[in-house]
Amino acid sequence: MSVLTAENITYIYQSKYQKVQALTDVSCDFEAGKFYAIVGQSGSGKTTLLSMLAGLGSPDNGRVIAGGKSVKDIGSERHRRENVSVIYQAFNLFPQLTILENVMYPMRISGVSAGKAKPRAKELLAAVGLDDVDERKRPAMLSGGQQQRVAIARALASEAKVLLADEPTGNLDSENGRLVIDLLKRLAKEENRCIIVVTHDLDIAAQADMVYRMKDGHIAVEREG
Amino acid sequence: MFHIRMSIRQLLRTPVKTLLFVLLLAAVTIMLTFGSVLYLQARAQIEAVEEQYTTLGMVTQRPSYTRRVSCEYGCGAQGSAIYDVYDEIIPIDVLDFEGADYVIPPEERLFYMGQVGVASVGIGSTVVKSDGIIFTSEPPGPEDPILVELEALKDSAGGAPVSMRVLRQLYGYEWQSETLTLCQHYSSEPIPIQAGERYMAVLKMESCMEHHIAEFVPMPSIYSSQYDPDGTPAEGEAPGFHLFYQDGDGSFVTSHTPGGSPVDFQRMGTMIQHEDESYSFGPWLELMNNLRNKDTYYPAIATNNMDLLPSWQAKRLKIRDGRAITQEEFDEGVHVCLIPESWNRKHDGRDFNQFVPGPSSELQFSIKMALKNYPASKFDALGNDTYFDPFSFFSSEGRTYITYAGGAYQIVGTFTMDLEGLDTGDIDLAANCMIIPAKSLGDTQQKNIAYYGPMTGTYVSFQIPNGSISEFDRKLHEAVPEAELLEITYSDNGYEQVMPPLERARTAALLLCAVGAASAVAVIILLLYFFIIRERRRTAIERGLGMTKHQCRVSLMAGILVLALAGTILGSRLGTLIVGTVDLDSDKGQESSYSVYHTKYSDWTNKWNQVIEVQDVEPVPLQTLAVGIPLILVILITVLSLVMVGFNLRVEPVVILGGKAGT
Repeated sequence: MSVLTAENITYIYQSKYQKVQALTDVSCDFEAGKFYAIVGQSGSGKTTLLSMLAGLGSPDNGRVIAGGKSVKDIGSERHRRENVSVIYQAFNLFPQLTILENVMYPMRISGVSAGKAKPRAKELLAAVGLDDVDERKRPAMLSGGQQQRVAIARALASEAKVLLADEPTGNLDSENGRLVIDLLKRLAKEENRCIIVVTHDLDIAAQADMVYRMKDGHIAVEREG
Repeated sequence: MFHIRMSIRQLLRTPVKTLLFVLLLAAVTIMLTFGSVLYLQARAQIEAVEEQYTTLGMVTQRPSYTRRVSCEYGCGAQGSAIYDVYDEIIPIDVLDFEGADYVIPPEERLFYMGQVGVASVGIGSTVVKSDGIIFTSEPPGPEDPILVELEALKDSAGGAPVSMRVLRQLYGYEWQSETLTLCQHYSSEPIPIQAGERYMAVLKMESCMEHHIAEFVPMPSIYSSQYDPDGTPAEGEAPGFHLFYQDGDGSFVTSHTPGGSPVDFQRMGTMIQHEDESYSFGPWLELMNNLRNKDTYYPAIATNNMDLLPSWQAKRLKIRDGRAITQEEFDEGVHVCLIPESWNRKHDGRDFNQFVPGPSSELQFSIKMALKNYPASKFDALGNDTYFDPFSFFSSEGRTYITYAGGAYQIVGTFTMDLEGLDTGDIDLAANCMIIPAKSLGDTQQKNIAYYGPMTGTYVSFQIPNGSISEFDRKLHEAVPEAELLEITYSDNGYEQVMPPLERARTAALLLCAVGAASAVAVIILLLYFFIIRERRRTAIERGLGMTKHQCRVSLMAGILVLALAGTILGSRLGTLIVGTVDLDSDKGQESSYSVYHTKYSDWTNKWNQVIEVQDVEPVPLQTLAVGIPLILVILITVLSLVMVGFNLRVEPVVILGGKAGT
């Protein structure tokens, strides 16, 4: 069953000096419990597509549908709170907050009390294999792989069905990268989440259930199954 | 609320940066608070000084030269006098020159001599009416002249001493003996005395150095000192004597020696009258009445503006009871007056013993004569041991002046005068002098002029803008050739010494405020950079996690506002404390004392050396500043922060969040 759909999305990126059509009539469909990879060269539009799917931008044409409703109707902020979570290549954790506070953050945004959010955050940290790390540490005190796992734990905190990952292993060594991908695959299988990874790493793409290829703003199914 | 807490928590987890900006904000707040207080205080003091200080110019015509005249009299007596000679009388009109910038144009004030009666006096709720003269003459003493009718016991020619029998005494301390010795040694043309003939004279007793006896010498008696309005002595029936007169060369001469000198007597003409010379008691009876009523005459100075009186400008003249005459009353010539406070002490025990200023207190002032540029110090000598007065109560027609102006004047106030340290020539008001509006006299101001002198600084004055002495003096000397003969004395109560330090203080305060403002701008720019621009990634993360734009805005603004409030409140409190420790007394009414010691233009003002109290200085609104300055800074920071946060929110999060770690 489709949890996230992109329908005929066109997005034109307007910079100071030029206008770039980053996406042209892109349509794709994503289901729960599957691990997707979107591959393509730099500038092909894959990160832009991820942004559209995350509601971090509004398409000039087309729409994004989540849970049967248009993101435009839901509201992008609510969409990001309830439907999707994003993890980034640069981790993007709050440097001045502890890892526990970072994981609690999405729950607190959604109105969950600190009393409930805290134990849940600890569970999530344990689920990503960080139960042996002092939760009072700040992100800068952890390794890259650990930081990315904190980011994953934070992404899971919102209970969103879809997890969007933009080059999640880009700043990691191969060992940590493997650990992160294994974690993502497990989330897809065990928690029936839809995992969408944007990557240029063909090894990661090889592990995906389905691969989309982006080229010059157009999408095509590279491999299915 | 949690995002506000998180925002503040993140702020506190960068303590060095946070504390630094709190201190920077505090520092600029201190500078602005302190600078503002200093500026407002300096400005208030400057405004008070500008309002309360005036610059007076007092004009005296210098003599063209002086000459000494000596002579010898009979009986070995000698006399000399120094005369000031003026080639011309400079009119006050010369001061009306192009480029002159007056606050109050020049005024030449006259004294008016008159008798003072009481129209009505208010004592509480009782009104006492009386038409009587309220000031009576003191009885003559041994030092006063005597007016006597004599009979010669022997012949005498050439003014030699001769015995006379006293037939009757019309005025003066009673002479106990039946005879006296008469000597005319001051007269240049003594009349021959014939035994058995009757004579009338005003006499004073002197010790004769030659004859070693007590002699009675005829003094000036029936003479006139009347002048025409142009300053030339009036011609008429009575012998003329004028302290200021035009000599044969056309120059104007005045006696330098107060009260005249024996030399003057030689020009008096007849001082003793023989019955054969169309003898008539009339003029002598008038003289007798004049002598008896001399000290019932009081002077009044007529002016158009109190600020032109040097004693008022120097704060030596102060209102004791009631109020001063208003400018409106001067302009409209209302019949009001100020009287010396000493008059209230003069008549204890009478049926009215106090002049209570108010609508129910009126004086009847009957003006007989006008005196132009008459030295005020001479009024105290009236009726005293001076046998010769510089002005006479006789007109040029030989008759006592009659009332020609005046009327009922309401007493609005009493005043006191501080004469300490002043020379007699510097006194502009006699101790027994009233003050009246010049316009209350209408067109009668230039009648019955019994004394005339050249411009004198105590009676000819003007007011110019503060701080304009140099410029005015330069323009005067450029435009008015006669200025070389004028001595202008400027009195500014020390304005040109008081003002520069205040202006420097104001400038310094402005500079401090400017530095504070510039520093505030720099600190705010840094604040916006470090706490908003550098927080774009944080905002993007928050948006990526689903926070609304409003929540993101509040999250950022919360931290900024906490910083701004902490810094500005701390600075405001410290600034207030600093103001308090330098004892500015900003919340209280200010009184400042400045010494008047302006000698640049004249030594005359050196003598005044008054301490001028500047009162009613507007207090600095310290509490308003203590609240207002932080408030302005916080509002400014808030507005600019909102603008910058808006820029942050316009950036698509994906633009910031994409890329490698640390970017």
